[in-house]
Amino acid sequence: MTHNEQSTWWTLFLIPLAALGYFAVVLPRLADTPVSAVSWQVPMIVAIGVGIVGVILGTILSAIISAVRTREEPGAPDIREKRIERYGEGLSAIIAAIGAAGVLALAMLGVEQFWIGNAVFLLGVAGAIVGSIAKIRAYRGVFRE
Amino acid sequence: MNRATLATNRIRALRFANDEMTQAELGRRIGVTRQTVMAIELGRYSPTLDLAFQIARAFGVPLEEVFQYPDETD
Repeated sequence: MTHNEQSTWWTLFLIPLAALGYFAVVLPRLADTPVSAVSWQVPMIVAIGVGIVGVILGTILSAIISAVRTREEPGAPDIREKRIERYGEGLSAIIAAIGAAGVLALAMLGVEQFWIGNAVFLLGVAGAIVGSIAKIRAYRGVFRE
Repeated sequence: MNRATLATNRIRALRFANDEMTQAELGRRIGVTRQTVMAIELGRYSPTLDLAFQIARAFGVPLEEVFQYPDETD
């Protein structure tokens, strides 16, 4: 397994975990607080921060582990890995673009900021998960763009 | 699982004919990971034209000795 594939596995583990942590904190607040008064901003910033920093640290760690294991300098991703990365990121972008239309509709309908913010958050999480799954399938099976 | 391409290759045979070159060694020579060499060898990934030429050059043979493509009548 290359270190890029390891990073993808780590992303697939960490992002849903951070999202679950966020929802575990925020959703119970909906039970006894009106939506407009629910404090969701700080937990979301923390979850996004944990996700971004965690993915970066995981990527660095997997590169070090890979270098120690193979006793070689971790080189730049090869052409296949670059194509797989682009493919996964392309799928994530498609989800974000389609989802943005839905979020725009929510904003036009004047729904609470809570729902708009959480819809954007969910889209980001969904995009990262779908992109990571697509990349892992490409790494482990047949890769066709 | 479906094959990525109709193209076949003789990379495995050529590796063994070249002092039993490992996938890692071939990968090192052409600047890709062992996993990429394996994916190409198993027909799970179509290399770019550049990479295909580099593989042929690593074995010192013409491209068509490494990769074959079936005739339409096959």
